[in-house]
Order: sequence, then C-alpha cells, then structure tokens
Amino acid sequence: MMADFSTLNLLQIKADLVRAHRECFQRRLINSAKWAAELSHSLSHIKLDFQPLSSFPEGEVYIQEYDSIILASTYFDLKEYDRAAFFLQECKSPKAYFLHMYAKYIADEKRKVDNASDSIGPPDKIENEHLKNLRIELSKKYAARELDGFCLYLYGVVLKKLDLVKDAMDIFVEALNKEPLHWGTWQELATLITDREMMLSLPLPSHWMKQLFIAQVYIELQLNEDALQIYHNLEKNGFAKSTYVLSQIAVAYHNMRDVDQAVTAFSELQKMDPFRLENMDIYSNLLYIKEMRPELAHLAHKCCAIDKYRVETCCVIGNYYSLRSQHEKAVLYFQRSLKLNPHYLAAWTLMGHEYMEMKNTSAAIQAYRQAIEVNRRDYRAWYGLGQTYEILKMPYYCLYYYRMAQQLRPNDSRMIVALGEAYEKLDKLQEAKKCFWKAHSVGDVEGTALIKLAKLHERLHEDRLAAGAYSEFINQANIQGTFSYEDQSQAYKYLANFYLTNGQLDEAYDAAQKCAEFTENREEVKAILRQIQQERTTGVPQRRELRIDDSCGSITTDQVDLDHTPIRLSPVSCNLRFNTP
Amino acid sequence: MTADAQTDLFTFGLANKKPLKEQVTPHKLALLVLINEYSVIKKAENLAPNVFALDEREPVMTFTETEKRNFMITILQLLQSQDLKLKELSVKIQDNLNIQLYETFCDRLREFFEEGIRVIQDFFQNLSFLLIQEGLIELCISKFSVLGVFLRRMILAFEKLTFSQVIKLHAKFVEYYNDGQNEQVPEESNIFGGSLTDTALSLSEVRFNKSGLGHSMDALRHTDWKSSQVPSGFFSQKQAEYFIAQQGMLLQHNENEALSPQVLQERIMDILKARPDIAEAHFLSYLNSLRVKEYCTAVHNLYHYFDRNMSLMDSNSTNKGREEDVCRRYAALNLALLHYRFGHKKESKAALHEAIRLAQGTNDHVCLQHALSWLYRLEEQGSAKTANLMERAVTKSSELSLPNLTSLGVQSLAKHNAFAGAKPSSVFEYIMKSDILNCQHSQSGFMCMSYTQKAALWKMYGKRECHAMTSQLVLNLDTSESCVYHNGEPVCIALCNMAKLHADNGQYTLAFDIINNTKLRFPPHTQHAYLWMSCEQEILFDRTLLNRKWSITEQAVLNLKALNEPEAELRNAILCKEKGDVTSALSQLNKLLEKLNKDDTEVSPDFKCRVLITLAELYSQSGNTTVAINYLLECITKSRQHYLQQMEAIAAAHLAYAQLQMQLPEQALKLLDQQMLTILSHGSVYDQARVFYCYARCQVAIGAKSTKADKKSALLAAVNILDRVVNMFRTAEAFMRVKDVLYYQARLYNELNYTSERNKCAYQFKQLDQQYPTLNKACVNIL
Repeated sequence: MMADFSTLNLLQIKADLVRAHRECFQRRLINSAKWAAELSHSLSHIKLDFQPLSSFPEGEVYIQEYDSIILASTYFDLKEYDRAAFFLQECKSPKAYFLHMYAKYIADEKRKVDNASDSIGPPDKIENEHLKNLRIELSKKYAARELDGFCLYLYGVVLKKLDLVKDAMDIFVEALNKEPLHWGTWQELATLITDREMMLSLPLPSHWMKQLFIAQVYIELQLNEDALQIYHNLEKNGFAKSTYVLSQIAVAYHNMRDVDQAVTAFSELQKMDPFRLENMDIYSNLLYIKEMRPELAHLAHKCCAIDKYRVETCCVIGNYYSLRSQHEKAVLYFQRSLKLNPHYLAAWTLMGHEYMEMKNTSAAIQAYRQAIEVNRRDYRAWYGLGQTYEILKMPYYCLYYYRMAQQLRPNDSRMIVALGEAYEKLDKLQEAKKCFWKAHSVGDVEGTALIKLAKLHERLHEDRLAAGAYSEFINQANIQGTFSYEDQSQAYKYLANFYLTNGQLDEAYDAAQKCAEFTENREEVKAILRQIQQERTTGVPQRRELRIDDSCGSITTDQVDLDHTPIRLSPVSCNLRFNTP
Repeated sequence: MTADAQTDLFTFGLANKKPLKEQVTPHKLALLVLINEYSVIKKAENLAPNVFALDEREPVMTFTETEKRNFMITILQLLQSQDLKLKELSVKIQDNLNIQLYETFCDRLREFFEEGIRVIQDFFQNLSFLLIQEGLIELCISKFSVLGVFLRRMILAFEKLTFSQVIKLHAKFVEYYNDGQNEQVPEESNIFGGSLTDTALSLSEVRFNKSGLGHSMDALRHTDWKSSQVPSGFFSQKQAEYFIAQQGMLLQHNENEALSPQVLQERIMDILKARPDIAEAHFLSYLNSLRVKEYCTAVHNLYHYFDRNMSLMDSNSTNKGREEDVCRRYAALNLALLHYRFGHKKESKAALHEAIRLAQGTNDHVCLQHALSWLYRLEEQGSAKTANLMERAVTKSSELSLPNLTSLGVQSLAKHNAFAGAKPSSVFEYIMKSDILNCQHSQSGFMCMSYTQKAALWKMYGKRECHAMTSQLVLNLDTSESCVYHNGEPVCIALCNMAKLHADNGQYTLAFDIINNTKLRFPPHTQHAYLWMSCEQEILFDRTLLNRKWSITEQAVLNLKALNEPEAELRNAILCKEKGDVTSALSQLNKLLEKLNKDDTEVSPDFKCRVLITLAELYSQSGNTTVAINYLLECITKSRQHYLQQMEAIAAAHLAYAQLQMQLPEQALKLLDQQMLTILSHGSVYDQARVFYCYARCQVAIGAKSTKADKKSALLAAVNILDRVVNMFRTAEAFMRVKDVLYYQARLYNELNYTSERNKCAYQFKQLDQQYPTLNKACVNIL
C-alpha cells in the first residue's frame, strides 16, 4: 500500500485537487473545497497547464440553467437557503439538483439550530421531520439510479443523521466510488469506522486520497504509529508544505504523548500558517504540560486577536489561566467554549480538573460525569473521578474509576500507579505490588512505580526484592536524572543497610557514601559508616555465614560475586523478576 | 468576579441550560381541554335552576354521581401517568366518561387543529377564569386542589413560552392530533414504522386490557401495553418522580406488579433522555439490574447515581458540604450491599469498612447503625462476636429510634439465640419485641418476615401445627400498600412451607398445586425463585424415594445440588442408602458429619440431627445396631440441647426399634409410649406409620412371651393397628413399606389361623411384589 505514494504522480494529484476544489466550490461544499485548496496550495511548486482544466465540460442542460444556478448560488452565499432552493426547483442538471437539495438540507438544519435555543423539552420527532422528507426524496432518486457522487454524499449524511449507520456507510462507499475526490465523503465515512478490520473490509476505490483517509482513521482509532508512518511518507513525497499533513502529524505525536515532537510540529505549523485556529487547543494542552508559560500567553493573545468566539480560543485561554493558577477564570472560559459547542468533550474534562484545583469536588465530579456522558471512552475523566474520590478518602470506592481508566488505557503507567496506590491504601499489598510492577514494565512515565514497589517490599520484609527494586530505581535515576533527592537518599540508605546485614561491606560502603551526598539522613548514614568500619575490623567470615542463611535465594551467590558494575548495585536487580500469586 | 458569573459557574446540563420543570405538551393540552369542558358543562348544570324559563333548544345535561366520580378518578390517573397518545386517551375517556363530554372534547381538539394558535391562546386566557372565584364556590376549581395546581402550573408554563415556541407547540399538537386520527397519514406510515396494523393492534390491546382487568383502580400498574407504543414521551419532573417512586416501591414490595425488567429499563432510558438531571432514574436502573442479577450494569448505575446525586442536591443550601458527606457514606454502604447481593463478601466488607470510616469521621450514628447491621450479617455467623454486634445494634438503634433496624436486629439475634440453643420461650419472647415495633410502625414487610421466622422456628422445634399456622398467617396478613400486596421472600417461604406440609401428609397433588401457584407469583428469573425450586425438588425427592422412582430421585438430587449444597449431599447419601449402596452412603455421611463437627454455623441445628439419624438408620439396616445406638443417643442429646422435639421423638423411635431388635420389647414399648403423643401430633404421615408399625411389632414381641390368651389379644390388637399402618403408608406412597407390612400382617393372620384374611394379605403382597420387587435386604430391616 505504501508503494502507491512513492510513485505518486504529483502532477496528476495537483490536477485532481484543482478539479476537486472547483467541483466542490460550485456545489458550495465549502469545507471540502477549503481542504482541496489547502492541499493544492501546498503543491504550488508544481506547475499545471490550466488550459484543459478551465474549459467547461458541462452539458447542454447546465448552460440552459446557468442563470438559475448563479442566482441560487448567490442566495446560498448570502445564507438565504430557502430562497436558493426555491429558484432551483425546476432545474434538471445534476449540479443544480444537488445544490437544490443541499440548500434545503442546510436551511432545515439551520432552522433546527436556531430553534434549539427556545426548544421546549427534548428533541423529538418533529425536529427530524425534514430529514425524513429529504430521505424519501433521495431514496426515490437513488432507486432510479439518478444520483451522482455528491448527491449520494448528501443522502449518506441524511441517513447518518437519522442514525441509520449501516445504510449510511454503504451509501458513502458508493459515493466514493463515483466521486473519490470529495474529501467530505471520506471524512464522514471516517467517523463511522470503529476498527481497523472494518475499514479494510470496505470496498473503497484505490485512489490516492485513500491513503489520507486511512491515516485519518488511524488517528481516530488511536493507532498513531501507523498514521505517522503514512504522514511521514507523504511528507517525503512532496507534501512537506501541507499544513494539513503537518497538523495531523502533530496531533498524532500529541496522542502518543510525545510532547517535544508535538510541540516542534505545532510551532512549525504556526510559522507556516500563523492565523490558524484549528488544533490550537491541542497545542495549548502541550504547552501547558511543558509549562511553557510565555509561549502559551503568546498563543492565547494571538488566538483571542484572531477570533475570540471560537471553541479553540476559549480552550487556549482556559489553559492559560489554569497555568497561572487562576482557576475560576479558567473554568469560565471552558464554560464559554461549551456554550459554543456543547459536544466539545475536552472542555468538560479540563473543567473537572479546574474544579479539582479549586477543591470543589462535587462540581468536579459533575463535570467529569458529563464528560463521560458525552464520550464513555474518555479515560482522563474516569481517572479524574478516581482522583476525586481518592482525595475524599474513599480508596475502595475510587478503585472502580481507576479500573475503568486502566481498561481504556491498558498501557498507561499513570493509571496503573494510581490503581496500585489505591490498593496499597486498602492493604491489598499483593495487588498493589502487581500494579507497580506492571507500571514499571509498561514504561513508567512519572518514575514513581519503582520506588513505591521498593517501599512495599520493604514493608513486607522482602529484603532481596526490596533491594532489587531500590537498586533498579537508582539505575533509572542515574540514567534519567529526574528523580527526587529524598527518594534517592532513602534508596541508598536502605541499600547500605541491606548490604551491611548481608555482610557485603564494600557495596554497603559505596551506598552509604552515595547517601551521604544528600542532606537527608546524614546522621544515620554516619552511623552506618561507623558500623561498616566496625565490621571491617571484626573480619570477613561472618559474611559467608549470612549468605548461606539467606532464605530468599532465588539468586545464586556466584552471580552476585561475578557481576560487578561500577556502583555495584545492579547485581541484585535481576532479582526483580518476581512472581506474585 | 461578579455574582452573576458565580452562579453561571455552577450551572450544568448541556448548553448550560436548566431543563424546564414543567411544560405544555399536546397531551396536557388535551387534559386541560377535558377539564375545561367538564367544568363548563357543570357550570351550565348549576346555573340551570336559576334560569326561569327552561331552554327548549338545548336540554341541560347533567352528570350522575358515578360519572362525577369516574371523571375525578380518571383525571387523577391521567395526571399521574406519563403522556399518552391521543388514541389511548380517547379510549380511556370513552370507556370511563360521559359520551357527550367526549364529543365536546373532540370538537375542541379539532378546533385547535384547524384554527391554529389563536384558539389555543384564547383557550389559555379563558382557562384562568376557571380559577377565579365568582360568588358560587362550586362553580370553579379551587386554587389549591390537585386540578387547581395543575391548571396554574400549565398556565404559567404557557405564559412563559415565546411566540416561536407557541408555534412549535402547535406543530406538536398537529402531529399529536394527526396521530390520533390515524387514517390521515397512510403513506408516511408505510415507510416509517407506526403502521396501521400497529395502531389497530394497540387499540385492541387496550380494549382487552380494560375488559380483562375489570374495574382496576390502578392504571399505572398495568402499563405494559403502553410501553410498546409510546415514543419517548416527555416526562415532567413530577411525572418522572412519581414513576420512579412508584416503580421503586413496587420492586421492593411486590416485584411482579412492577414493569418487567426490559420494559422498565426502556422506560428509564426514556426518562433519562428527557431529563438527564434526574439521578434517581439511575438508582431505579440499578435496582432493576439487581433484579435480573446483572452485575456490570448495576455497578455502573450505582456509581453514576451517586456521582450525580452528590452535586444535584440543593446547591444553595448552607449545609451542602455535609449533605455531600452523607451521600458519600451511603454510596460506600450501597456498594457493600451490591457486592453482598452478588456474593462477593470480601469486597463487600472492604466497602463497608470504608463507609464505617467515613461515618465515624463525622459521627453519623444513623449511618453507623446501618453499617453495623450489615456488619453482623457479613461477620461469621453464630459466633459470640456476631451476637455481641447484634446486641449493640439493637440497643443503639432503638435509642436512635430506627424501628426497622431495631426490628431487623431483634430478629437476627433471635435466630442467633435459637441456633445457639436458647430456651424457645425466651426466643419467642424476644421476637415479640420486634412484632411490637412492626405493629407500631406498620411495617408490613417486617411483619411478614417476623412471622416467617416464627414459622421456621416452630418447624425447627418440631411443632408442626404452629408451623402451619404461622405460615398461613403470613399469607393472610393484610400487607397491601396502595392496593398492592407484599410479595417478597417471606411469602415465598410461607408458600413453600404450605407445600411441604401437604406433601408430609401425603397430599402430593395439592403440594404441587401450591408450588405451581408459587411459580406464577415468583417467576423463575426473579430473586426468590430458588426457594420454590429447592422446595419442589425436595418434595419430589421425598415422594420418589418412597415410591421408588429412582431416576427422578437422582435428578432431584442433581437439581438440588445447584440450589442447596449440604441438603443435596445429605439426600444423595440417603438415596445411596436406599439403593443399598452402603459403602458410598457411609463415606458420604461420615464426610458430611466431619464437616459439620468442624463448622456447623451454615446450617440449622436440626440438619446435624438428620445426618445422625440417617447414619443410625444405615447402621441398623446393615445389622450394626449397637453402633447405631451411639449415633441415636448423640442425636437425642443434640435435639434436647436445642429443644428439637420432633427430632428427639423420631430418634427415640429409632432407639425403640433398636431395642426391639435387641430383644428388649418392653423397654421399646415404654419408650414408644412416651413419644407417641409428639409423633402423632407433629410427625408426618410416614413417620406416624413407621412408629405405629414398630409399636405393633413390639406388642407382638411382648405377646409372644406371655400366655396364650394374652398372646392372641396382643396379636389381634397388632393386626388392627397394622390395618391403619397400611393405609398410612399408602397415602405416603411408600409401597415398599406397604408390602412389608402386608407380609407381616399375613404372618400374624397365619398365626391366628385367619386363613381368608391371610390369603387376602398375601394376595396384595404378591401384587405389590410384582410391581416393587425387593432387591436388597437392607430396605426391610428398618424402622
């Protein structure tokens, strides 16, 4: 599949894009037109021969109805949809017919949205009446096979709105086979796909647009690596300047929690398209995580200047206030973004976080619950709920939420650590150990799993395992250098004691020396050092005896002697392989 | 930050808009019309006498008293139920109300349909006049009556509407009306559901329901028919709350009367769609899931409810924080309950401890009491620690005046005491305490429970008649709450008791009739169904064991195994014993006994006695009378210790039989004489027959030692008794035993030289022997 792109004929693509833009624009499918234009713009280094493109390949009927179409298009642009629909009633050409139906659809949808503000009661049958009428009309035409690719798209959209997902999918596929250049159809289809197999089983046309579609679906299914592969491939083959591709790459990195890469991608995107608002909310999240305050301030300022009534803008500003610890204001902005779009999921979760900061637990719970209601798969909201209840000192109660979060993100160490902590509070230490171990093995983000595991082992008097965990922790700390000093000093202290009781005086000495570098426990360390001195003078033989007595002998003594690393700590680490029942 | 923004900060719901509490829907509009027309007609009726000259053209119509009553009841039902379709409404009106009223009602609706919003607005304007008092009080609706409140609410809701909303209301009304006149929309319905056949069906169904149920007072209880047709109708706050409260009550009180789980779930979804802010709906859904033992949904719903509930409580009250705490505590407590229901004891305890910790943190004694009553339930049964907990629960909850917890605690403690071997009189006296409380607070559920427990205690103590009486009392108790009788676990147990009692008397068909009735009242998927299931299997077992249909017996044991493990084990051993498979029976019984000696807290004390008796039987059947005696004596000691009178009597009878076998008939007879009264008054028909049989044999054995005349009279007396015994065994369908007795009788007749009688008996024996051949010797040598 990948091979398609290396042999891409950019000239052909460019021609396709130009044509796609023209077709979409004439039908007032503005978003698809915009997308085509953006992509076409990124290929501006390709020079086309415009002569064959600009000629009119339209039929006789179109020329006859030209006046009506022009009039209708103008009304359409002026947002007078009913009027537009009326003047196209008699027209026969496919383009005019599409515009007619589209205008009708838009008119009713607009009315629906306008009425929503003073609706009484829940949405009911009447509100979807117009969709049913459209469906009847379109299905008649469909049965007579009179629909072109665009009309099929409209038919699909109507079906989708009526929750007839299966039918809608079939229609979209058919529309794509007729009109592969219409990005809107691909997009609608992408939202309906729930897994990879489903996508691969669809009989889609083998068009170059399919690659973009597949990548988009991968992003939505959180298969970020696969998506990135496609996008990088595209980048290499001539789409390097495409803002669309770049933004998608950034989003993919963000989903993978690769913050630095994502930030670079976004800042590059900013340079290319400084007045862009799409995806800026994600960018602000990233900046928030990195605590890049000046950049975030700058971004907020700019977004506000561009358009302050956009969901993204509100979210950016909310994030900014949150970073400044002005949580009330942050909430206010998140709420504004929800007013602009009630289905904007991220704002609910973020609002929950803000309430948490404000110590308003019940409001936080409410916000998180709302987020879950909008999307049950929002792991952050589940996690947030868990945290809330943990703060309320209900460790058993919060287990449920952490479990849900962990189910949704099986490989996210944060959830597992949280789960482990909850278990620890409930004195279910075996489960807690399992959790911390798992968190360590899936790649611990916060680096707390190991130290917690070690402390647990210490609590259970599993000395060898504890020492193993501590030394592994120190190894990690030395590699990454980001861990807290307190933990490190404690780890060294424990190791020093451990080696001392085991009679490994050299190792004990090393560890104690290291420990002495930290300010905490300095007195105790001195005591240990003195004891080591004492042991040294009394002699070595004692050590052997202790060794033989050691009941925790999952590791042979030879191995300990053989394997010497500079800090002489790692040998025990192989003991970390533990299997709790 | 301004105050305005502050309030904005805490409003939730989609689009940050609080959903309206009440609104005008087409259905309510129709109700308003109905009320209006009624009062207009009534007004005319009242004014009529004042008009001197009777109006010739229009005879004044009047309502009879029944019509008035019907109207009031119908209106009340309609106000409380959810929105109906026009068709259904019309049927209701036509069935219950004056036909002229219905016609004017229809006319007015048509007017609305044809004339549009002007008429509707005029109508609402006039509506307020109904409420204004003008001289005569009967002429108007009181502002504070049910109807008055409804009218005022509607007027207010209508006043609030903007012009475009009024238009929308009209559009909805048009649809509602069209839907009612179904023949107008054929071509649309062909394409999208709601077809003609559907509507015809619904109509007939409604009719059927009406006629089938006669003058049922409570329409809501039989709302099944509505579910399939009503689209997700609008629930006003009141309607939804009423619905939830009612269904919740029914689920607790009488599960059968509530909607079926599936329908109920659909309805809950409807409510949530219309009013996502009603947290109680989640709780109802939780209860519904519990009912069908659906763990996952139950958990999700429970958590959802408490998440929602916490923040939806009055946000402006000052003690919000405190209320949230309370809510949290009960959330943990409910979680414990949930886990208990699904048998996860450990999880249940963990959640319970959390609840206790939270409650202790804030000194919430009421919550602590609830937790305590769960704690003694979760703790090891029968231990002194548990008893201690119960005692504390009882004293503390009566101090805090929590009658149901006190009552529950008293009952648990009584049970505990009974198991621990306290004097029966003291146990019953203690239970009386709970009865008094139940009576004072008229808690019908607890009353049933108390009676059932008493029945169980009587049964354990071996007082059959008292057992029968208390079981029947449960069934006769007036437990109706708004015309719905209590139908919970106690009722099921009582019914099973009755079935068993009949089976003991050999009235097997009656017993199965009762079981079948129980099946109807507690369908197999419900919570308490396991009770009648095990009861049915036990009766089947007893019957087929006696009439030797062993394939069914085996099946019964297998079935029982899923429901009641120890019981099934014992019965399996009995079956093995009867089949002559002595070794496996012995090993099973020994295993069972060992288990009981280690820990007998799970079963009632009489269970162990039964095991001992079975063991003794087994030994005596295989000729080891001396060993059997040991077990019998142990059984007698145990029964005395626990005051199990009947058990003691039966064990004594077995002992007498053993004595008979050891050539000590005089002592055996003495022993039997002692126990005869108990057996005759409280034993099952089979037991009575066995004891009589033994008695007769003892008499014969004594007679054999005495003079000839005495011997003859003894033999004659024995023969007479045996006639009775044969009859009793026949009723119990114990044909093997009948055969045995007949043989013995024939021998006696032979001894007496009554040839013809002897031959008769022998003939009967021959017939039975062909049907039920004796295959092993063990089954003959038995009490």
